[in-house]
Amino acid sequence: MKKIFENKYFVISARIILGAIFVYASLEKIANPQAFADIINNYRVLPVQLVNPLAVFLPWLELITGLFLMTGKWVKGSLLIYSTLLVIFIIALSQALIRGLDISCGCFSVDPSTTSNVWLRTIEDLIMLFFSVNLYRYSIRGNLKTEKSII
Amino acid sequence: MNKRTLLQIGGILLLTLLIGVFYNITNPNRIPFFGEEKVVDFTQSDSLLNALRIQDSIQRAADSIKNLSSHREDSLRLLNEKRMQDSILAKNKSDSLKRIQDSLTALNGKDSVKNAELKDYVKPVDIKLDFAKALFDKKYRFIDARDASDYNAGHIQGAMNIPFHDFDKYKDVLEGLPKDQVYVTYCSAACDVSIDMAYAMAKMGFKKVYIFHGGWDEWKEAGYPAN
Repeated sequence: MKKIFENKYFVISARIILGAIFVYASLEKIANPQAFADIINNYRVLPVQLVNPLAVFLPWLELITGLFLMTGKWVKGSLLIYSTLLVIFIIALSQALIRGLDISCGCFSVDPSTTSNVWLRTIEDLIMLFFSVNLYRYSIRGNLKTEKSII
Repeated sequence: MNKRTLLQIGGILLLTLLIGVFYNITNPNRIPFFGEEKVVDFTQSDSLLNALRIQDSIQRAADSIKNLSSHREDSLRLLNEKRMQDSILAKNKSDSLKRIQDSLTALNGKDSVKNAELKDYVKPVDIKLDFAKALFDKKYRFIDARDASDYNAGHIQGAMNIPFHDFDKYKDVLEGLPKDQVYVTYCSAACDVSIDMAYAMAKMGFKKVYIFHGGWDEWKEAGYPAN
C-alpha cells in the first residue's frame, strides 16, 4: 500500500482523477442551484435557512477544490477540504439510508428522479475518502512534491 | 496541520465565498441566499370539513323529506301540501346551501383573495386526511405529484399523475384542466412536491387547490380507496 502511494505517477493520476470527479460533480449543481437546494432539503438534516447558502457555495467549493487538486496547487489544503467534504457526504447519505428516505443523492445529478443510488454513492465516497486520506498522509510526509508544479 | 495548510484552506474557502456570491448575484437562475420555511397551516382544514359535513346533512335531509312526500301524490290535498313543503324546502335548502357556500368561500377565500391581490394567485390551502377523504368522496380530482414509478407502485384511486419534476412536460395537460374546480395535490408523506405543485398550479390560475400533506403514506395507512 505504502509503495503504491509513494509512486509519483500513481499519486499524480489519483490526484487528477479525484479532482476531475469533484469538478464534474459540481457543474450541474452550479447550473441549477434551486434543484440542488431542493435535494439538500430532502435530506432533512439542515435548518431551512442553511439550505440555500449551502446550495450556492458547496458546488463552488467542490469545483475549486477539484481544480486545485488537478493542477497540483495547494494540494494539502485541497485534500483536507476534499476529505472533510467526503466525510460529510458519507454521513448525510448514511443517515438517509438509515431513515429510509427515498431521495436522490444529488451527487452528480440534480435530477430528483434519480433515486435508489444512495448505497452505490456511499461506497464510491468511501473509496474516494480512502484515496484522499492516503494522499494527504503522504503529502504531509513530503513524498508528494506537487506543491509547486501544475501537474 | 501546519500554518501553510491552514492558509491554503482559508484561501480556498475565501475564493469559494467570493465566487459563489458573485455568481449567485449575476446568475439568472439565482436563488435567495436565505430560504424561507414552508409553513403548513391546517387551521382552515377542520372548518372546511365541518362546512362540507353540514352541507351533506342538509342535502340528505332534503332528499329524505322529498321521498316521504312522494307517497302522497294521489291525494290532491296532500299534493298541494307537498308543493308548499317543496317550495319552502327548496327555498330553505337554497338559502342554507348559499349560506354554507358563502361560508366556504369566505373561509377559503378570505386570505386567498388578499393574497391574490398581493401575489396574483390564490394561495393553496393545507388540508388533513379527513378533509381530503371528504373531497375524494365528492369526486374531486386528486393530483399525484410524485414520479411515475412511485405513482405506478400505488396511488389514490382515480388520481392523475403529474410529476412535479417533469412539470414543464405536463404544463399543457394542466392548461387543459378547468381552472375553477377543486384540485387536491399530494405526494408521499416526507416530500415537498405536492406543495410545489400546488403553488405552481395556483400561479397558473387555478383557484381552488388543496395540499394534502399526509399524502399517499397516510392515505394507504388509513385503508382508503387506492389503485
